[in-house]
Amino acid sequence: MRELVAIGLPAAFAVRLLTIAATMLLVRRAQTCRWTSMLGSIAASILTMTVALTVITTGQPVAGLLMRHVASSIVFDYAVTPLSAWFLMVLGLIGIPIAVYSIAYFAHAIAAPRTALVGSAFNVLLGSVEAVFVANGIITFLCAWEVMTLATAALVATEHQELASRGAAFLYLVMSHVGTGCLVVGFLVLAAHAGSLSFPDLLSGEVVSGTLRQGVFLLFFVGFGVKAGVIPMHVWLPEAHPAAPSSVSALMSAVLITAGIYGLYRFCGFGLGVPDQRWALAFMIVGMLSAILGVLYALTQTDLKRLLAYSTIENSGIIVLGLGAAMMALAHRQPILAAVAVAASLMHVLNHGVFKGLLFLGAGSVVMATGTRDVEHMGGLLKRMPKTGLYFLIGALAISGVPMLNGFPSEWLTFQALLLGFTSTPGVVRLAFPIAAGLLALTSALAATCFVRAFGISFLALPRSTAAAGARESPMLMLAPQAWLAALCLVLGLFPGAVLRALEGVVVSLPGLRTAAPMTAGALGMAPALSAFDRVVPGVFAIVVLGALIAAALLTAFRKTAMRRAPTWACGGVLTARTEYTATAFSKPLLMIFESIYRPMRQVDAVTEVSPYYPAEVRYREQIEPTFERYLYTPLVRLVMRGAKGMRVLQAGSLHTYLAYVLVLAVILLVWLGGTT
Amino acid sequence: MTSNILILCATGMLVSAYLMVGQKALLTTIRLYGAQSLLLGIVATTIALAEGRHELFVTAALTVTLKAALIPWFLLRTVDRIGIHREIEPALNVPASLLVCLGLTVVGYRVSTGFLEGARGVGHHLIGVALSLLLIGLFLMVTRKKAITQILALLTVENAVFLVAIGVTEGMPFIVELGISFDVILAVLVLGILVQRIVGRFESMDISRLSKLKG
Repeated sequence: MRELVAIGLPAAFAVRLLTIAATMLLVRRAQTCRWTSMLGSIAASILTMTVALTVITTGQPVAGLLMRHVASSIVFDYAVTPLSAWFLMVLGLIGIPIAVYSIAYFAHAIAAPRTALVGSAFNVLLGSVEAVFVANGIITFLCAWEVMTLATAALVATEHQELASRGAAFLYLVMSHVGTGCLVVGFLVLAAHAGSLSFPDLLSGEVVSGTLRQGVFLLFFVGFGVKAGVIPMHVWLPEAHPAAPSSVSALMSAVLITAGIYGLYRFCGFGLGVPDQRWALAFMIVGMLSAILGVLYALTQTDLKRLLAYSTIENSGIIVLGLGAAMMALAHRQPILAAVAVAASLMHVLNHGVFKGLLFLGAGSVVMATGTRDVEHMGGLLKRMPKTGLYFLIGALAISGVPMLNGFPSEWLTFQALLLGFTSTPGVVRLAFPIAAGLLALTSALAATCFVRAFGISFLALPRSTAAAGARESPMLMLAPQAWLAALCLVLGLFPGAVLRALEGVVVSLPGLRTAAPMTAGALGMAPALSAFDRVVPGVFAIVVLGALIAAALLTAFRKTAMRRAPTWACGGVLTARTEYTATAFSKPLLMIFESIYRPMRQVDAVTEVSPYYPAEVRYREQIEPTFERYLYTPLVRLVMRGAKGMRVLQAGSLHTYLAYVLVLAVILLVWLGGTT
Repeated sequence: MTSNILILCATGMLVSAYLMVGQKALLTTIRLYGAQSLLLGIVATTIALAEGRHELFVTAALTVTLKAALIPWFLLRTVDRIGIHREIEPALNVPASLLVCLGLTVVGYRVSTGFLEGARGVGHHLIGVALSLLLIGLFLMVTRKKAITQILALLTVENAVFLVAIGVTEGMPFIVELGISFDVILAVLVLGILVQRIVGRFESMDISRLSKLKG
């Protein structure tokens, strides 16, 4: 077993490379190509998961060498720390069902000649994210980071004949590269001061100090924040997710975002020494903003995948908020509280990956069956796709934080950490905790509304279009992964104690954290080790709900009166799809309540023929203001463009001008350096 | 005696560069370059005789045959063939150019005192002349528009580098010297052909028209 773990990661990378090569060779045989690429991906994921689980259970990091470039003496080595292992495990847990799903889904969604490209990009993406998680030095990390960005961009641009896809891929590339630029500068500053390129030396916490430390933090915050999709660095996310094939969107949401989170953890939170109070505040504010604004924007979307993308921003915000709370606790020397907050945040990484993966896969099935992403054209799908509907419902309940499912424990833990933070930290900044808790409560409620709307409008009532009326259930290969993820939602929700126990090793491996006593109350319950903490056992809910269900079933079974089927009463009218509640109408009250945030623009046109009181047709158009795009990014882009125009004067296209630059530079250098000795 | 000859030759090279700046006729400019290279050959020979570095005789022979004879001959032939004999409109007029070159010479001499070898009398002059020559060569490239003048400017820069190499340092390794010589010949050949092509295409050898190729 030990030997297997030692070679597990190199073997996984080798499997991925072989898979990519085989996929490329099989370019002409789409079906074989699909199976090869996805089965290879599954094999590699199983290998990495074995390593990850071993590290989590034993608590012993696994390190090794991937490659050595002799000429430049650059070493590509890896180290699976417990933190890396946790993210690696999440990646494997979601990557495997997504790969299974993709076997059937790509057959439908990807044109045959592109199968090899998409299949290899899928493997490249997963492999590079694995490499990001386990990299033990700057060079390895940045290489993997960049490959990850490029692979994602390629996958987003799969439908490159469409302008929107190209635009989304371009936006993603530009934003990612700005982020990567920040990272490179930050890493180089650290490396220059530490005199080393490997992470253990760089992240000892005492490499830089003072203003430089603040600067490095800011660079990392922006650099990783872009990938984590937190507001205000989120604008690429709602564009890129809908453009990619659905299984890739699931991968991006569950995996790519976590790469950013991992970066925030490893380098911002626990890489630069004891966190500054201001950093913690920045994390908490950004987390709160992302959570509340993400869910508010999600509420008004009619594009199902765009809605899920905004919800990803929300969950990313919750995770960052947990990390921010932990950093605040650390800044005030509260290691136990910090441990609870970190556990909550890391648990949410896992839970979000599982239910968001499930929801994106469900959305993929729906989009495949109806041919549209617009929920206003769906409806009545539950009758036509009962299994997909059930799994989507489980995902929607989980993301809404309903007890017994996995969204609940991590949000509950986050609440506990926030509520306790107020009493155990001094000063005015502690006000951040109750404010964050309040906003988080609002976020959870709004998320529930959002998914009631998403599920109700698309799955319930009557079909709104012929495409929806003719929808068919997805094939077995697409249903099984959803079933697996839905089961995982239930298991993780019922046994949060087991998850927490696994997490404890991860939490205490981080510098400055410790737990006083186990946070678990058996496999079923959670009870963080501070007396003021509440304890919770979701299993009790399960028993109550199960009992109620059994009672209801018994009551129905022994009822005397006969069952009678009748059409729904419609006040004497006829029920058609046109009488249904629309998605826009559903979110209208919230739109009006939060008018100051949305700043909607409405336009109502009535086409009249006889009298203005009897319009023949009413057209309603509504648009919410893209605040960040308009007030942050448009001016920024304008500034950059103006700067670029100014630079163009330098590039005159005249050889003489260029030669003059050389001459002037030579004279300046000569005068400057020549006179010194 | 030796140092007097060296300083005289070096100054002669500088003067030839000044004359090139002040000259508009292409044929005369080419001949001036030939004279400059001849003076460089004399410098090499003088050092070879005075310090007993016999490998410098080869350098001198190469310099004289290639740069004082072969290259000027080839360039003269090119000019004859394309039938353009005058630099019409330099970017900067002659008096202003001469003033700028004066400034560049001051910079060159000022900087030369910063070098360790600059402490010795002859070395000081050689470095000063070489740096001035280098800067004037660059300046020629910037202000002149005819491709032939550009080539001559490049060759002047190359002469400046050679002057430092043989006059101040122990000299470049022979193989490097040989390589550079052939490089120069090749460059001149290629550029000569290029000039003919440019003239054929644009009916001018004004390289500022090349900017039309920019997208």
